[in-house]
Amino acid sequence: MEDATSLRLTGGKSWHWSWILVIACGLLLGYYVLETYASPRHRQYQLDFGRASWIEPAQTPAPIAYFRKEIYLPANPEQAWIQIAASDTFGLMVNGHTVGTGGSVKTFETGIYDIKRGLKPGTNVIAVSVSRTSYPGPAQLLIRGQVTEPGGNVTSILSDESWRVSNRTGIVQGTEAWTSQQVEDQLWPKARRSPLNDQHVSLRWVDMNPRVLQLPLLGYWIMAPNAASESVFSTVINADYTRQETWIQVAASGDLDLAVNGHIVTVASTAISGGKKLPHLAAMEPTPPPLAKPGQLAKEGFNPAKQNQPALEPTTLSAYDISYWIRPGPNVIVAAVRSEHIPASFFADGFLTKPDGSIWRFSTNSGWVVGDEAKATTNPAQQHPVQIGKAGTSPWGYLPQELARPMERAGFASFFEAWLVIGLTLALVIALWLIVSAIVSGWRDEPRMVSMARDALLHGPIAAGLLLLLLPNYDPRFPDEWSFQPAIVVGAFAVLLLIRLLHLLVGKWTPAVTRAGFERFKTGAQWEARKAQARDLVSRKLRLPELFEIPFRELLPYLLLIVIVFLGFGLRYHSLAYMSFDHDEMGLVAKSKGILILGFPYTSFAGLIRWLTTYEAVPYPLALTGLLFGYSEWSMRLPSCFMGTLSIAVIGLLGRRLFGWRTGLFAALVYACLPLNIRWAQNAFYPTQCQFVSLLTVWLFYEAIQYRPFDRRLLTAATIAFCFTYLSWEGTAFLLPALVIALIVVRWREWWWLKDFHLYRCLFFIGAVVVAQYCSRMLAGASYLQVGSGLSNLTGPSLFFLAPGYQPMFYVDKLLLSENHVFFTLMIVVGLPFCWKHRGFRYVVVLLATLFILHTNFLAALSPRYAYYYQPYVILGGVAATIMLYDRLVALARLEGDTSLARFAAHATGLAMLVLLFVQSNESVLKEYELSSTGDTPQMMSRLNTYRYDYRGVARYVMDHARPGDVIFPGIPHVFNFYAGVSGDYFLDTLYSSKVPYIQSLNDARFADKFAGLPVIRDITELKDVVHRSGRTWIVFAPYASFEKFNSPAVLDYIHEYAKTEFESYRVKAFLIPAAQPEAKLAQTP
Amino acid sequence: MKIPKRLARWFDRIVTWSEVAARIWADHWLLIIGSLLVIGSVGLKWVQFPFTHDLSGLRLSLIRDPGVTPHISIFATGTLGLLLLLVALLFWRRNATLLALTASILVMLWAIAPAQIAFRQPSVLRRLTYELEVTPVLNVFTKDYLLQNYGTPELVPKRLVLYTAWGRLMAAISFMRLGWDCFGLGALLIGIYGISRLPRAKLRTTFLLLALPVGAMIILLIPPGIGQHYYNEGMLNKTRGRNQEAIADFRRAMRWDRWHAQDVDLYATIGQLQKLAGVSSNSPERHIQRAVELRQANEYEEAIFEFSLAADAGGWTAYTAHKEEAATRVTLGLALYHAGGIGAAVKQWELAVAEDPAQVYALFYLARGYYDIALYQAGIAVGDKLAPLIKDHNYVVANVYSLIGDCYAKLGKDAEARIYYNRSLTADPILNYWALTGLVGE
Repeated sequence: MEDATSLRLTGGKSWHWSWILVIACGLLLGYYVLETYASPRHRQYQLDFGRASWIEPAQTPAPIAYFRKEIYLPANPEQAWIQIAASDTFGLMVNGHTVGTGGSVKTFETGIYDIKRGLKPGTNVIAVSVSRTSYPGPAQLLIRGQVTEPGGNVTSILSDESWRVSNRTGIVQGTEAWTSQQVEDQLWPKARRSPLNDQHVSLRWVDMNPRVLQLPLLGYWIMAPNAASESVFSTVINADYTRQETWIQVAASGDLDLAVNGHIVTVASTAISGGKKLPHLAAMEPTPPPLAKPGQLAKEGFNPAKQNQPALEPTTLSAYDISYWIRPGPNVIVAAVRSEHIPASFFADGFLTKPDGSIWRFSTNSGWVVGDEAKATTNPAQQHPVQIGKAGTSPWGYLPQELARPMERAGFASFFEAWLVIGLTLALVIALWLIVSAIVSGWRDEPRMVSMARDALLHGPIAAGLLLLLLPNYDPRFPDEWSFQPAIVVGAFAVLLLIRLLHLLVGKWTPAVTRAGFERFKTGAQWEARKAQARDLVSRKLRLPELFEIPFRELLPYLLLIVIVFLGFGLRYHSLAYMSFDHDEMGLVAKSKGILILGFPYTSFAGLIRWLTTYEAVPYPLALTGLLFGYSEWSMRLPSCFMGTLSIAVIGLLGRRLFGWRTGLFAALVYACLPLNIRWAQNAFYPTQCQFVSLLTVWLFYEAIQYRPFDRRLLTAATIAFCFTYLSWEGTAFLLPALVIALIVVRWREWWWLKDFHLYRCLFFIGAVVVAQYCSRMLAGASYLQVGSGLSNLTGPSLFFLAPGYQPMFYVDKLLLSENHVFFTLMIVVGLPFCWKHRGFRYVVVLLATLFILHTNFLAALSPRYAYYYQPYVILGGVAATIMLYDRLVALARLEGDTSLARFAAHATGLAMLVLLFVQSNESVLKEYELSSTGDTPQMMSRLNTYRYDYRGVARYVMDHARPGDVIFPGIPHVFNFYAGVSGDYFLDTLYSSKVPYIQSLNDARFADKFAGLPVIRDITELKDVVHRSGRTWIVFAPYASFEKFNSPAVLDYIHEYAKTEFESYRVKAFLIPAAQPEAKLAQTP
Repeated sequence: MKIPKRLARWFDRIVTWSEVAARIWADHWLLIIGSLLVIGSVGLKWVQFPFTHDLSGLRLSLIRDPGVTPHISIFATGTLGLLLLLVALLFWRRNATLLALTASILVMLWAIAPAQIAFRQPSVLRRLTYELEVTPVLNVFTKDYLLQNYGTPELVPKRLVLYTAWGRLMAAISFMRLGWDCFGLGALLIGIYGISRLPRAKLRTTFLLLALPVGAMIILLIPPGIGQHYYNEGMLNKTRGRNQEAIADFRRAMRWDRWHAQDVDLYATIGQLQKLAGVSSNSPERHIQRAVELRQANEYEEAIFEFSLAADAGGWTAYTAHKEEAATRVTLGLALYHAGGIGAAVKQWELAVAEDPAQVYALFYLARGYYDIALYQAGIAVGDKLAPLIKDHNYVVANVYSLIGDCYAKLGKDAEARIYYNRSLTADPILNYWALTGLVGE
């Protein structure tokens, strides 16, 4: 319901709004000035891959692939670099040593690395593992590199069809690693060119200028003529302008301090860690022989590497971006080297980038000066260093190169400087505003307030535009500093000045002129005729208004909502069955079959019926679709798909009731397209149903408390909806206190409802349901013995904020500041002061805040999905605040005199803000993957087309390749059973990582897994025993990371040593341990 | 249904009381919530130590380092805040400004708490950053044992910059926890309430009251700011090869900022510059520099000797040298342990704990060492001493209990062993493999 009073502005308030607009614009411009000129970010670079081709495996499926390339080198290289781009995640290895890794979700990750340390004379293997989380498509790789030999001979490394690739490491026979030179890669399939070569692919930007590694090193090692162990070297380089892009690579024979124009660049090695490292005991080792006296071996034997330690510390060529300290004209670079026992020697190589892209190089040579007195002009009195030799000179050899982090610039000075810059810009913008308003007021002979309000409104589109321009910085396809360019800042200032010329049009561009123009447009577009046609279609042919008994104008929003709902349904229905079930979905699917047999969800386990003790209400829709369509991924996800789609409508209608149609429709549109909501609507687990019924609860409760006394029927309906919510997931019990607090805030200073007896009746009913559910849970858990623990141990709220695992920022990171929610949260915070009086806004914000506080502080388990049921209120609150802000601007324009210019500015600002909200909320235009707060990591459910676990692929592979007599460890037995048709033979749980019941009722009492009752293998001895007794052993690791984490090291070592990886896909692996004894002979038929 | 008269009377009374309470709530809800937050914050943790005790507002002393075993202090931030609030609540109706002034002081206490840790009690910040590394070390001494599934705050690695005053302030803030947040929020709400009740000149009073926390922060920031200036100058002079000037600057930095005065690396840097300049061959800094070099070369006994020589200088130099000596003894103990000299290792750890009680993690090694050399009773004693110090960290304390359980099992006291394994399971029921296998006798 539109709260008209809240939108009414007094003259005084319009004055405030003028100031708010101008200050917002000034602060944003100040931020741009700061980031562009005063404290620019580090540059980022796009890699050029030249003639290299995208390659991929020919085998299918291949979301994970292992690429290999052998190169032969006659000698150690002088220079060797490689740049790589791969789908999602990669690991680059040279001769088995990891050189670089990169990981992301749904991004083409890139990197550039110096690989000379890993290369050696002879055959070398460049190996890359690529693992993809997005679908469809296989793992893809793009590589370009170059190896320069001492004689100048250059070998290029380019990805093409000559590369070898396999989708599993089990292809390697024997015990060699797949990255080894011993592996005959002729047996591997060849890579094929990827279709990506015909497309434009946007790659992630890198932090290091590729030229640092690509340019040959020109410098010389230098030392002072007296070969002192402490020396200072300096030189002068000339720059054309402030902060000209400048890189320097430095190496020294001892401790090195580097300064540019009196600013320290290198961090003192001891200062980084605060000077201390804890004493650390590595791994237990065999006890060495007895000591002659205590402490002797501690000195001699503690560090076995000590005997083989080289005389010189290994030196690295560290690359620094020193652009920040560069100023126009001469720049002094000073380096101090302090060595122990040997002469202080220094090596440097660097370059400045000119505006035309060319570079000017500088490096250490005899032209440098010993001491810190280097001058731009040559001084014969200055002492010059001695050149020892070029890069590669003994004893240092060819140095490995790496990107170094310069000293932190942040400090009190930079803090005050930042605020000074922002403050000055703000002052300039305000001054301009006041001056222009005064001039316009005098010229137009109108009150100063009117011209100030109009001029302030002109700041709105600029502020909104600057906000929009920030968005590409958070898209990995753009560099971090994309929007902080002088052109944008100067452009913004120019627009800020030129837009004032529009004041000249105020007299000419009147509402009458606008209306006339609009009429002309309508005539040209045959508006009336088309409108009549549409009206005819809707009113006479479809007879919708008659059907709904409302006029067309009122019907229109409903039609729009229906269109949005259909759009949402299309997005959710698309690829509904593409992904395999995950273990959470399968748990509910398996239980839903019990409904068709006994009428309630259960599974049968060791002859006992185990009924569902959580998510009780979720399997019923699954059972219904299972009954109607059979059991498949499509049919099981259909209820979620429908409920996710219905949630769009509920959000639209709830938004309409709380704020009005515009908020409802826009929030519904955002929700329909938001990746998180689409992903959960394609998943049969509980969150979508839980969110849907909780939305109904919140809506019904709001409707019920609108009346005095409360509407009993609506309150009863809200109670029933709450019970369904609770039975969909009991963590939603927090909704109850949240609703009570929302009631107090909405009905502020009203207490009559305390005497409403029906409220207590409803509470009693809810209490009965909660107690019954709790009893059911306790009864179900008491009938058998078990070891291990799981999330179901958490039976209720606790004082989690006192526990060490307490993470107050968890839901801030995972919900409020996750990639698609940031601006909604921001708008809620911005809107709090001016929207608080709006009843609907209070209701939504109080619900959101209370649920956030309760989940953070009182639920001793953390997961992003736990916040999913109240996520719509982030959208609703953010959209409502934006639209109310929009209304304030339009109201300000009306007060200003309702000129066309002011209205245009108000509408442009409001619409730009809505566009901003929509663009950052989904992947359609920009991929705002880096908008999340720093504590967040990409979640599997927050982006479209990311695959969770390929249980289906692994189960089918194992069943297709298993032979009679093979033993199978199925990983998660019930999912394996669904896809393979058999449960498998054993369950591996060597750390009691999941609940394992002890079944006494079986003939041989034993631990058995809770899904299928398989015997549990508890340690390495039992595993070996099974392996030795069987033919071949299949071990399915799904999800792979969990198995690595939850099994004992001895078991993992055994598997990695004796098993081959036969199948790999999204987060799953199938290992095969060959027969330890002659395979059992099969019965032969005559 | 007929309601008895007595019950109806009670119902009426409850309704009357509820209405009165509701009126009070509606009029003073900001003050009520703010006061509750301040009162509640006093018992909550203000500082999250990664390993040892978490400090509450009752224990976070304004005057001295709270130490390893913090006790309730009258000069603690929370205690002072609470007392002030109680006084203000008693008298605020007589003077409306009093409440706003109290809120201003509370905001000041809240604001200076991290600055206090960063600049006035740098040993606390040093210990906080030091303990970040404890968790991986501890797991070495345990069996195959994993963290709880819902993670710990230490899982997100902190990127701390400790070589700038600003970085240290940010580091201190990163360790502040719920108690501090609640105190600040409560103070803010009380402040808003107090100012809203002022009869006139609200804006001017607000600015005047803000001067208190701002002024306090400025006073606290000036010395480390000057220290930072001298430190930077020293680094620059060092880079220019002007060793004497660099030494002088570093000494000034130490005078202005206690962090630098307790920084062993800065002493070592001064010692190295003195060595290169060929001066002060017997200075404490030269001894520390030699000790650091010897320690890096695994010459621990000689390093300990050099540290002990440096400790003769007194003042902060001695304090720092003592701390480093104890840390070196722990490392020496580990080296000896590796080399098979477990008895000698235990001796070193005993000395380390005696010299610097802040070396709490050495107790873990000591407990394990006693177990290895069959001093099970001593192992139990150390374990019992350690458990209360780390009681807030479920998985660590579970390990301690399991180790004590192992000791009792070796002594043949199965009943006691079972008690401790069960305590371990109670402390941390999730994936507690050690305790489970202990209970089944493996």
